Amino acid sequence: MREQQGSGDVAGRRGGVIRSLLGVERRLAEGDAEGAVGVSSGKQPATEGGGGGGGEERKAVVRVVAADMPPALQRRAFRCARDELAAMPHFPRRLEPKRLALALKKEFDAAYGPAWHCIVGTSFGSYVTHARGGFLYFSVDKVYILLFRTAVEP
Amino acid sequence: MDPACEELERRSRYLSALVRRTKFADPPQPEPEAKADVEPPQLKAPPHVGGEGKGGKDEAKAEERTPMKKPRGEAAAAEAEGRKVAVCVRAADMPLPLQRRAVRIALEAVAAMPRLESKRLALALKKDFDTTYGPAWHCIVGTSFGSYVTHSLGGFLYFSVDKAYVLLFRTAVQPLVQLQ
Repeated sequence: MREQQGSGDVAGRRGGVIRSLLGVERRLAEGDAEGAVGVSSGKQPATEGGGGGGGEERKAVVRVVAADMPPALQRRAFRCARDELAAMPHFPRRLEPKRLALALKKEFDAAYGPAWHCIVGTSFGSYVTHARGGFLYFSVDKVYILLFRTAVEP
Repeated sequence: MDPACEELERRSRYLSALVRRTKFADPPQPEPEAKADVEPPQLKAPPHVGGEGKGGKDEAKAEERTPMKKPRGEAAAAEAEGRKVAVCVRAADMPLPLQRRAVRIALEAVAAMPRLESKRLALALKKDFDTTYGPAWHCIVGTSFGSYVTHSLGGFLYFSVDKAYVLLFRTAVQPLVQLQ
């Protein structure tokens, strides 16, 4: 599983095509993203979710597994994901991946143009082709989110 | 608005026919499904009239789909290597030969693995479809995920094989991008 980076017109608005393979296996011990592009870094806010009462004040843990995306877009994705997760019911705790995927895709389609795709879940593997600068794979409170962009027909 | 409604109805009937035919084509399984988890396609806008997804690069970008799998779906029985695993097409906007090919590749890959590896299955499917029908295909395999994607006309398939769910869809590509 080799990593292929598209070369060519850097000046072009939409650059080359980059392939990446990511997966989250609950049973597998490997946590690395094979063949993924970008930098892996962790973001640990000072306050971690411990208090049961203060749901609004609790900050979710965001960890970037792989990214090929400008920092501003990443921060926007984090904020959108956090807000959407905070709006979901907490007791009982229930994840609505479709709703989160919809919110993220809609926001990015509206803000940065088509076409964005979003996958949200706790156990999935993927193999996608994305546009340059349009790939983000991160986790928020044990929920993994894959957000990537593909070129559209001119 | 009338032509759009007619087009939507035709597409809806086409999809239903595809799903029914594919289900009937499968041999009957001894274990009935615990619950039906079929997600109807959500048509949000009138789709563009374009060629079917058979390598055509000028196909229009169409609907947005949200296949969803709830955590811990059907519990599969103990399976032997020779035993046939259950396959069920949940939603499709894809010609039948392509669907059959995807299901066959998935079954072969699952049979070759002692335990399901989502990444490996996703890789196998995407590679084969990229090679056979041209770029760009994307594949998601897992037991618990939701999604919201934009796909090309005739390039969407969501099915379950054994205890995993597979989402395979196609997006349009720019001609200048193909430099590999």
